[in-house]
Amino acid sequence: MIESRALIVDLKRNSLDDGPGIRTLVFFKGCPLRCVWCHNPETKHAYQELMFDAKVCISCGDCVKACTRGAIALSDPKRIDRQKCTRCMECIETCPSGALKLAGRPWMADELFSEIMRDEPFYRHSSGGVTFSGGEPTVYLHFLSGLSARLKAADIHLNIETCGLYDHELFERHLLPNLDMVFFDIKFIDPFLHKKYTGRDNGVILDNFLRLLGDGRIDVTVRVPLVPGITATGKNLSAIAEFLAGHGIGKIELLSYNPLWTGKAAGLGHTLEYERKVFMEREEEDRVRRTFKDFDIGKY
Amino acid sequence: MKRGMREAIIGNPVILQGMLYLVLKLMSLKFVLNATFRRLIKNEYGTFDRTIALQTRDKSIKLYVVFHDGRMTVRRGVPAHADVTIVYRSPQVIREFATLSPEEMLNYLLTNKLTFRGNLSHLSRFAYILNNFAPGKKGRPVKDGAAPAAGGHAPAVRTGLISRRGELRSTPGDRVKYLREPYLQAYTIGDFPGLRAQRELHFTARPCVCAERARLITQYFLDTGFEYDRSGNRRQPVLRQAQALKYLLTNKRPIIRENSMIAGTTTSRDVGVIIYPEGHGITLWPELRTVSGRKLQPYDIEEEDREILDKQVFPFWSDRNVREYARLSNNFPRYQELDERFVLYFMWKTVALSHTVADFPRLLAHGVMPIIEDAARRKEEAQDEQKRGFYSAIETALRGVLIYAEHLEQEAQRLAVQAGNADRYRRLADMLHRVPAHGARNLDEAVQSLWIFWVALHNESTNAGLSLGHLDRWLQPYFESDMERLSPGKEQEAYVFHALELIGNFFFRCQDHLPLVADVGNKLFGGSSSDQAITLGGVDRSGKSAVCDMTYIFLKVTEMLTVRDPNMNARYHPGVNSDEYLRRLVEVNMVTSATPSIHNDAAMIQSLKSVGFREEDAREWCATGCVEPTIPGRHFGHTNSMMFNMVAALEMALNDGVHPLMDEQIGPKTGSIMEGAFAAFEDFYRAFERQLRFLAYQTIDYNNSLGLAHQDIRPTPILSSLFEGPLDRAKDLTEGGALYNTSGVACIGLTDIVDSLMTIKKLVYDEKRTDFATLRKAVDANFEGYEKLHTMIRNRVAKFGSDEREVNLLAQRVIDTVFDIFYTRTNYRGGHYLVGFWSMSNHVAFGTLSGALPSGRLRYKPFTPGLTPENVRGVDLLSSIRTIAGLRPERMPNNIAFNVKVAPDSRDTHEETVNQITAYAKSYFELGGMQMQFNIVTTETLRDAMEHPENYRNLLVRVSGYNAYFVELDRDLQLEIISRQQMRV
Repeated sequence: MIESRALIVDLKRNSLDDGPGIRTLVFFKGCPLRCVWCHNPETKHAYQELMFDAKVCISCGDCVKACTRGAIALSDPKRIDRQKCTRCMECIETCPSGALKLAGRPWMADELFSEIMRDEPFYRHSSGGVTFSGGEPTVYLHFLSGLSARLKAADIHLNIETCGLYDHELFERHLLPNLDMVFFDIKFIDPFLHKKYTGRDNGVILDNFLRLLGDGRIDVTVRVPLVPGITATGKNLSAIAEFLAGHGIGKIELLSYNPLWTGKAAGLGHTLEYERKVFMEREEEDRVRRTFKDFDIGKY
Repeated sequence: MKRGMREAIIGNPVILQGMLYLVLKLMSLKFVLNATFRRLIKNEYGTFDRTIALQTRDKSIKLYVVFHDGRMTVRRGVPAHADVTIVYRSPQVIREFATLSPEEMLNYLLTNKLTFRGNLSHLSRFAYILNNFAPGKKGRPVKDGAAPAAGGHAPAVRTGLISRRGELRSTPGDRVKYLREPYLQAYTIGDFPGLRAQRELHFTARPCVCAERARLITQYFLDTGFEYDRSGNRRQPVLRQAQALKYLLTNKRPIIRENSMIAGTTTSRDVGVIIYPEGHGITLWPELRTVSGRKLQPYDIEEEDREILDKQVFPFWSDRNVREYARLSNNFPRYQELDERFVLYFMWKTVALSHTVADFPRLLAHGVMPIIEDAARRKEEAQDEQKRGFYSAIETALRGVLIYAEHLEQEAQRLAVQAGNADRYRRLADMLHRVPAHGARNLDEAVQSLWIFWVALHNESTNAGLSLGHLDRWLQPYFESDMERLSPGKEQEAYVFHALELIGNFFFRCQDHLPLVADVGNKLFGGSSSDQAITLGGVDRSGKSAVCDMTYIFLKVTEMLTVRDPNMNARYHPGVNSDEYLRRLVEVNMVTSATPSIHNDAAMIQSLKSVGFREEDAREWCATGCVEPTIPGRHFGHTNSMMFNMVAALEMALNDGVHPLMDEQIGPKTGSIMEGAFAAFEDFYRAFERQLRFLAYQTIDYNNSLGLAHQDIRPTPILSSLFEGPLDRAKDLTEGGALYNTSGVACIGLTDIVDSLMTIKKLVYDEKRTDFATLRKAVDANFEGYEKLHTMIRNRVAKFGSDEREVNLLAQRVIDTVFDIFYTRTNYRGGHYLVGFWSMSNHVAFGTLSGALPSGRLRYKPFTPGLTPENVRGVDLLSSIRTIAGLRPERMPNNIAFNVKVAPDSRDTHEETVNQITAYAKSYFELGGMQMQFNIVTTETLRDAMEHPENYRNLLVRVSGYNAYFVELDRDLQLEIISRQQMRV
């Protein structure tokens, strides 16, 4: 199947944390993993969702009137009864505050290409470019195949942030030749823990990782999300450190925990299996970072 | 109940009138009983004989006060003739008025609760008399440590920013000849004890009113006559001015400051506030007793000076200053009355018209003698009296300049004998013997020559916006010839050090004077210095890079000193100037947190060409005052002739020509929203355009009449002598003697207008989510009770800066509209009106006087500064850069001010941050943007500075085109800067 469209949640311009220079981040919607701490819950499912932001809502009640199914009630703390909601999205049209939003809009590759290219001078003058993120961008490998080739032809630096679960043959054929770098997530070494917290085995992921390394064609940066009590345990991080050291990797990026995701997940009506509403303590974070004392820990 | 009774009684106009009558009557008794008070209404010319009428707008209260022959009488009714009429909006206002502080009174004036008609000088005098009656408002001790902005105690000046030794290095590029590492990172201010001492003085010295100039010029005219000379002949204005200047420069004290390498001072004080009584000097009158204790920018004033100003100077100029002269010659015109309501426009010609740059290279190369000789020769050949008078004026005024230099030379000789360091003074005396009479032979002489001429220019015209031009390329030949004579290595290195020190000294000389700002001005353009712009880099007349050694010397001095004036501007020509140069501009901007502002040469030149400047001339453009372009020595383009509030036109269009703050029919009746006047968006746009045109024509008429007043009251022979044109045409610059004769307009509030029009277009006409009447009611109610509509405006209407096509087109349309309105009119010198989009700090002042807007902006909130998008959803840094870069430079020939506030990320290195910001700048310029200035500072720093101003004396911020010390700004303006679009880097 050749996808002519991809579902995209957002384009973040002027991003300075996801690769060199000034970059545009493209958040693709859909991911094969089900990480319980997913920081971008709006990008998990590969279908459009209705998102509610309680902080912005002014409780005017226009959405209640607009809903033909009686799925919205101001008295309901979740605001939307997802059982009744048919995702007709009429309520979004009436909402004056932007509290009700559509997560995910299908984009044509052409359209996305021109949107990205609006900031081309900024990429060029800062040695920046584009980073595909998500979600998991490789869900749209065929879409990316054409797009990345065009961007490559336009001399745009390309990076991808991936969870590593993809078909390597297709990845190698459709995307890899056009990429300039890869941010590769490693969450667990223990397959049991991986399965427990992300819903999927890590066999293919680690396999893909090693193949990418072995291939040697591309700059790979390992990123580890620090999730208190889950990935950020002494045991897990030591295992990761040992695994990376064993493969001669001396550089790593650690992603700090940010509790803001729980609000977003609730606004999407997702059920939370894990919840932590505070940032990591300074000491805790310093302690876990020490696990990687022999590594060059990146800025971010 | 009791309170209600009281309200009822004093709310009654008849009773209120009776009470007011009694108060004034009591006051008049004081004049009978008390000799001190009688002295108040006397001056050198006799007594203050004026009639002041007081009334409410509904005429329910009407009284008047007659000062005659040293007595004051109070009468009921309306006088046959009043010199000034004070109009209170309602009896209520009179009641409140008794209890107000001076600052609150000012707000009453600004908010039009109180208006006046008649001669402002007499009102100022009356206010001064009243001030003497008000308890607790009399002269405060001269040293008032309580004033927070004054910095009377030696404050801890942050040095962290300025004493860094930079890590970025560079190699010579462009036309750099001698500097091996042009960024000059090896030097810090710590290496220059002399500069450090002057810097300390700059941040601690309290400005002091200097009455020297005002006293001398008044004395001269008392002796020789103003309108007529002693033999009863009418005096020719330009010759009269020249003779007065010669008298002034002859009698001005020649001062050589002990700590300065450059001789001569603008004033007799360390930091002197110059009084130009023929300009706006009289605005100080009401404050003569209180100015040393006011909260913002207090000045010391000596008792003797206060007396002279009150008794001798100000009375002499009451009808002879530009503002009143224009009023009298035009029989109290409406446009002037509207100006004095503060909210529609501000006319800079009431203060100055010298926003220009003279032909300094000619002065440096040849001195003034050849000009004197030229004028003398032309005088011989001239046929008519007027022309002879003009050439005689040039000759006379320049003779005055030479006499001043001669006096300085004598002073240097005297000091060489008396003071220590005889060598230094002897060297100065030698230089002063040579310049400015003749051409300079080295860098020191060039700078000395320039400075003396600069002092002379500031004694001629108000120190507001007169600018210095391309000092880098103009001084480069002297630097080069000095370097040539030295051997490479130690000798040349020592000379670079000397050059840095000399230019540093020049910067501090430029700060020895401040413009007079009345308290109302603090509100309108708070913190502004005299905006002496220097322009660096760019291309030369032939289009080649003009970036040279001196460019980098100026940049290093800018970085080390971090002072607000001179106002540094840098031209960057994409493709011609090097990347290294741009990177250095960004770095200096970062280190100083505000300066220089960076201009796109290509866009500016293209813009100037499109409005009739020759290409070679356009290539020589330099910034004047804030950011406006001037062709040095050829272009007299009073580039800030007015600050024009475009939002007032929108408010009037929304209200059928009534301005809500004034509550009065101001403009034409263009249709009532409540009566369903506008069937389509286009109908409303036409109404807006008509109001805009109405206001613009008021300003143009007023500007032209003020220009004519300048021709009569204060021509500019010294400035004219250093221009191409005046000598050939025998015409002063104010008469149109220059080659190019434009007037510049600063249009304020574009973002607010575009966002408002978009709201109307989208919500009322396209999507019909609301009707116009409801929107109007919501605006009238400041959106109280209309929260849903307010939220909808904020979230569902695309905003200026989002780079959406429809908004961009609308913005361009508004720009085109206002460009056309002004461009098609001719000024009093025969030139075009050129519009630009920047605001100094008037976006705050006008904003605090304006009602809520359809854009969702709430009542009394500041407008957005210059041409900067608002910080709202959908407007990110890159989109706003693209938006501004996409506007057509041809329609903004008086330039723009695009402020970008960036807070560097602590995780990035200095070099990374410089590179990122350079990337923004390069992209913006590549996309066609004209000008940008970065405010690089964190919000936390600004907040801390509000709480602990004593630690942040030197914290510079850019206020839409000029630099100011953050801690000296009005609180509203401080808050506005904090909330300004903050972009994370």
